[in-house]
Amino acid sequence: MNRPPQDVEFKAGKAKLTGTTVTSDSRKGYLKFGVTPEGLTCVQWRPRDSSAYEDEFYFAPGESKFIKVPACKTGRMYYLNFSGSDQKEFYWLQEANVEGDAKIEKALKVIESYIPDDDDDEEMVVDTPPPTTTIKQEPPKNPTINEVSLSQPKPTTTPPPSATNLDFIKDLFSNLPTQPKQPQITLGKILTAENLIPFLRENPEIKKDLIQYLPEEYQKDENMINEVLHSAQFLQSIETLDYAIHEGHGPEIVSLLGYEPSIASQRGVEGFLTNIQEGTNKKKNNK
Amino acid sequence: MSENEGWCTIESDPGVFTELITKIGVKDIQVEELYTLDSSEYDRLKPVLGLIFLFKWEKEEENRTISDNENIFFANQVIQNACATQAILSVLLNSEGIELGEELSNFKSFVGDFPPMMKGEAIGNSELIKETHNSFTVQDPFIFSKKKNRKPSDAFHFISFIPFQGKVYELDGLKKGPYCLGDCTPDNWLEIATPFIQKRMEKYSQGEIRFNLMAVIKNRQTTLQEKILTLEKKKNDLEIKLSELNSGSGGDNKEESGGATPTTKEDLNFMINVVNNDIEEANNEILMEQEKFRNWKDENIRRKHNFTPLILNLIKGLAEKDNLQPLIQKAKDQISQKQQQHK
Repeated sequence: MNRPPQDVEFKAGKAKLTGTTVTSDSRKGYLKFGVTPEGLTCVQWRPRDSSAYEDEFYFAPGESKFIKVPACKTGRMYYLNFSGSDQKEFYWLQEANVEGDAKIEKALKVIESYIPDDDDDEEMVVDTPPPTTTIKQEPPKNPTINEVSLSQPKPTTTPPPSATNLDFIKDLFSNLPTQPKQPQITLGKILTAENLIPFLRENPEIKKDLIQYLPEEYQKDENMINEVLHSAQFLQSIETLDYAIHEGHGPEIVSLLGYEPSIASQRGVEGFLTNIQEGTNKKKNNK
Repeated sequence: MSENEGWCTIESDPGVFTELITKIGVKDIQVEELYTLDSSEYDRLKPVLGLIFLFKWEKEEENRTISDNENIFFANQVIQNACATQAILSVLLNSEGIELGEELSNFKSFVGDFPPMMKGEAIGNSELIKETHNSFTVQDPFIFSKKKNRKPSDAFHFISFIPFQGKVYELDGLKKGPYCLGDCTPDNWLEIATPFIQKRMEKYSQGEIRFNLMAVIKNRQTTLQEKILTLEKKKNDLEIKLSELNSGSGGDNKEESGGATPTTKEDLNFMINVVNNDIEEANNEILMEQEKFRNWKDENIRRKHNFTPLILNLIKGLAEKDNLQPLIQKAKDQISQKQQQHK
């Protein structure tokens, strides 16, 4: 029973790698590292004026790495390394106090090295996540240090680093696609109560058909499904599915549904969904 | 820590624990999470049968002497995953005046003379306790293995604090026996235990280690109902006195013992109002407790359910109605929009 480490959130901006140059996005933001109930490492970035995350990445336990870029002059450029792929996401620290960077790195190491302890393929779920998609704030229940938040009263942040030439990284990036990074779609962003409740309302026959997949105790009341869609347990299951697809199990899941897996289902959640749509269309045409 | 022998991990959640002990057969007990260690919180929740402290286990120096009180039920922790359940049992099996239910009572007498290690093994072997515990595990719907690396990880564990025969004891399943923390009365045992818990909290705060605290208490609705009965009796007495005054019979203006009972009409009316408010407050608290139990029940229903078929069929449904692509696009647009706004 291994209790996951604290979430770590700090001021950071994004940056993009094009060719061998990293150009910073000047927007102020927050980068957050946390551990999901399933033990996955979740990294999220949002602009400071919004509570909705623009970027969201999931890693298997122990596989996330936040690596400093030594060539960067200001010394505060890092990248998130994706093992098994060439994808790299760049971020630069915006915390006013530079001396705090070491503390951030230390806290991130705790998360990076965290491996959930589990036996019998069961997982320890320590905290039920809140049922909303806003920031997971732990209730102030005990006097531990909650987040490594080093915000200073000064309103300004450090200026973004100027475009840095990173020739030395060229070798690592030989397979990096040249098109701009696509926004990350997750099932969590699509299967929201906000999207689903109106859909079910407009399609009562589908709503009725889904009742059989609800817990037995809920099957008598057809509106219980709305409550389920908001629940923490439902959201956790979506997260697990997101992760499974991210890990490349999309094709298996597609075949479980009775459709033919295509290459699309290997391309993340969007590909997975595209595959499902293709399968559905095929079935419709065959009728 | 040895093999888990078929015991699964469960959430450390008061709703889970409350239902778990009810299913084992214990009556009228619930578990609450404590966020503060102050007396107002204890007052609100009493009677408190025991506290359970969950923290990251570290090999620590132990200089204390074990208590030689042989009447305490003390079991060594044999199964790591059974941690929480065992901590709760250690509170329940040492409490007086509670209904353990037939099976747990039998268990208690059966293992009464066993040494601590054997008691722990007996818990590990108890089908009833194990199966009830396991029924709360969250399902992992996929057989995909996510755990490639298995580093030796730090263990978490629980220790319990209980009042027992006039003293406070700390029960740690990883130690050889219970530790006596000092003398106490049934009313002040929490105050005695608190500094010990606080010391640990401070120590772990410095190491940035998380922990939490739970209280095993008598079912609040029961406690509140009893309180209301007492209040209504008091109100009745006051109203009788008031009507006696009004009719000029019986009572007089003589002060009664220590002037504790109001004797004037104004005072009586005032007291009756106070009691009415207290009754109303207690009734409101009962409603809140009922709501909380309903929520706990719902959460437990959902915990035990595998939602993957629902999710996949939702996706199928969306695809059938050609709603998938628009939603994907909507999500992408929302993200791009935010990026655009700042350029």
